[in-house]
Amino acid sequence: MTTQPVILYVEDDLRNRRVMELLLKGTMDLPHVYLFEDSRDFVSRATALDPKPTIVLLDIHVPPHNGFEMLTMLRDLPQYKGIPIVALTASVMNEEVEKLRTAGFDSIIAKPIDIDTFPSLLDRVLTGERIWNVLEAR
Amino acid sequence: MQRTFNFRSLNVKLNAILLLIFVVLFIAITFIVNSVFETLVGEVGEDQADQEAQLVQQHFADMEASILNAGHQVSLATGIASLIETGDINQLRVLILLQAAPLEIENIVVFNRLNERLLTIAEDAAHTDEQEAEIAAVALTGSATTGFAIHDDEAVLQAAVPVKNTAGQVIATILVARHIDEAFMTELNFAREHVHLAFVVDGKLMARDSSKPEEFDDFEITSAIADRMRRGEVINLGSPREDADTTPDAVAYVPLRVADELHGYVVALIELDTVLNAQSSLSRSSLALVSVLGLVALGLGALSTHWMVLTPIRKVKEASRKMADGQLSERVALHSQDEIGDLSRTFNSMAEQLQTSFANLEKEIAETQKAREAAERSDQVKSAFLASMSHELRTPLNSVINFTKFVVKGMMGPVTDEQVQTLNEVIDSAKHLLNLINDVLDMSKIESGSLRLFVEDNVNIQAVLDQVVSTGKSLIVDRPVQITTTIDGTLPSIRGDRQRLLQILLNIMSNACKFTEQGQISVRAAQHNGSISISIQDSGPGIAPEDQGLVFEPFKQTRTGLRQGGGTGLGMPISKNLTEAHGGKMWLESTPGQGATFFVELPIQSAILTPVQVEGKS
Repeated sequence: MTTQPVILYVEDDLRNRRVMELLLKGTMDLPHVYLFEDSRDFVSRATALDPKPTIVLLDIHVPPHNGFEMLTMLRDLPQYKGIPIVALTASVMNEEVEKLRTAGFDSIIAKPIDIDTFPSLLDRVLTGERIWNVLEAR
Repeated sequence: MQRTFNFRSLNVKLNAILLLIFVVLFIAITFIVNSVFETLVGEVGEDQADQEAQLVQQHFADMEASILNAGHQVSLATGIASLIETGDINQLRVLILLQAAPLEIENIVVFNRLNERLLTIAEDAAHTDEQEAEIAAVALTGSATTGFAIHDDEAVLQAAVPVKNTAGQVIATILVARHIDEAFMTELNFAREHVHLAFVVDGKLMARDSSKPEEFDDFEITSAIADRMRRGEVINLGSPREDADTTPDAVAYVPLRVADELHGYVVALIELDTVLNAQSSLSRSSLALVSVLGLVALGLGALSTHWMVLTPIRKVKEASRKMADGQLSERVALHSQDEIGDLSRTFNSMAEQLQTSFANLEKEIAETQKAREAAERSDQVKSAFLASMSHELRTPLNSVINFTKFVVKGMMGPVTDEQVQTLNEVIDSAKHLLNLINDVLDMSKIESGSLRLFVEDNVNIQAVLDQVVSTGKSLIVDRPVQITTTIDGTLPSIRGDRQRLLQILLNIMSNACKFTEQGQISVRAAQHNGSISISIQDSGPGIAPEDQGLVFEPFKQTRTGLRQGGGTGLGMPISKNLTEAHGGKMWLESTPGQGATFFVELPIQSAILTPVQVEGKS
């Protein structure tokens, strides 16, 4: 990646948000990381972002609009067209993964994340790879 | 009744049977009537022949008496005696002709007392003088007599009567005669049309009556009959069956005696047609009556089968059809006491039972459905609970593991080596917890049948083994354990889920590492018969035979395993299930004290797996 990714991450859990902030802003030193702690006024807030995100990470259990609803909203926004939308979730049982896939998410990243492999995972998604395998290496 | 004509219809079948019965009866009756008729013909023929024989004899006797009477009449003519005595032949001829005119006499001869021919009044001369003289001589003795003569193929019936004077002395005889010719025979026959008579002397046909003379054209007398004729019997032949087409004639041979002497036979042919016509028409009308009655019976039979059998059966049929269509409350409304009534009652009770069983069945189905739904609901609840638990455990683990990692990395300020070591213990424990969660989830997926493999066509099994061996080595760094690898030739790529294959073998390897304090862990792999066999042998304590089954059962760690601590007790069951999900087999061999060997056999191109179409690579 020549240009740095612009990331929007929606997460209601303070600690998880903090982990990602440390990882993205601290370890990875990304200049553009938007963190939303809820999905209120999601469309207007997402539309207002500048520079616009090149990848969106969504937690699923977020009030008031869950991940699926946010996905639908984003898909209707012209400026998010073609941008990978990834479910970053602890809900990784088979049927849940299947629901995410059929809902139209581009990939899944399971919690807990591995901060050592996360950057390469992000790169793979940004280069168009679709990741649906949630098995952690022991 | 609007129904199409159908040869398979019971109605048609029953009517056909009735018709058949009728035909058979008709044929039988016809046969009986015919045989009775034949017997009748025989009997009637004999009766008729008997009657005819008597009639002919009687009538001939009458005719004999009649000619004798004619002789008497002539002889009693007033003045005849004196004319004979005076010899006035001319006067005598006139007197006799006058006297004889109304009589049927053809020849009249007068003999004198010396039996000399005095006067002859004759139409012809069919008889000899000697014969006449002979009979006249009898009359001269004073008694009238009859006689019979044959001359030149003509037979003659004669009567000779004495003529007496006032003193009572026989002074002459008068001989009268009559030809036995067609006229005679016709008279003998009373001019009947259906009886034909012929006069036979010594087998020779002398005369026939005028009714139908050609009947006797082919007349022949068999030797047997000729014998009987010589004995002078009345021969009754009845009606010999000679010609089947026409009614035969009855035949009788009647002996004719004149003055107790057999002179010939009258053959009588009696046509039975006339006699039998009445009988025959009677039997024909009986046949017609039988036919009509039969047809009426047939019609009644058809109607009664229709009303008593077919209509009720159709009702039962209708009801069963409605039941077949699902109207189980349908019943047959028949109350007759016959078999069909029984049938409908049986049918109704069957319908009752069917309806009850069906209702029970529906109830049971509903209950089963309810139970199944409850089970499904409970499955869903369980699944949702597991998913929720997974989510709730993983969320804090994310911060536990990663915050610790950030601290270890020094992002939160400087850390000592001792602190790093301790923090790594925290990370390991957290990862163990995560593994436990993963195993529990895998097991729950396997048990709920929702395990899904991400199948790829060319999984490099060699690379998987390499990773397993290197992980194994990292697990035994602090122990005197050697890991050796023996690969037979080159291993092919196989079809399967790479991550799951790794999981299977890692579970076995980490198990082997966990239980081997010292010695050797041998990894062997070989390809044969479309499969890859992998074995991992350790030199640990081994597994007691009674515990070997437990190894593959979820949540059942062996005693050694429990002593060893750690582990979820799910690794081996999950591995076995994942192997089987690949169409393979997993088993173990162990002798306590000599370590254990776990075997995994995987098909190279498993037929039960189809590569999952996954968006992008996974």
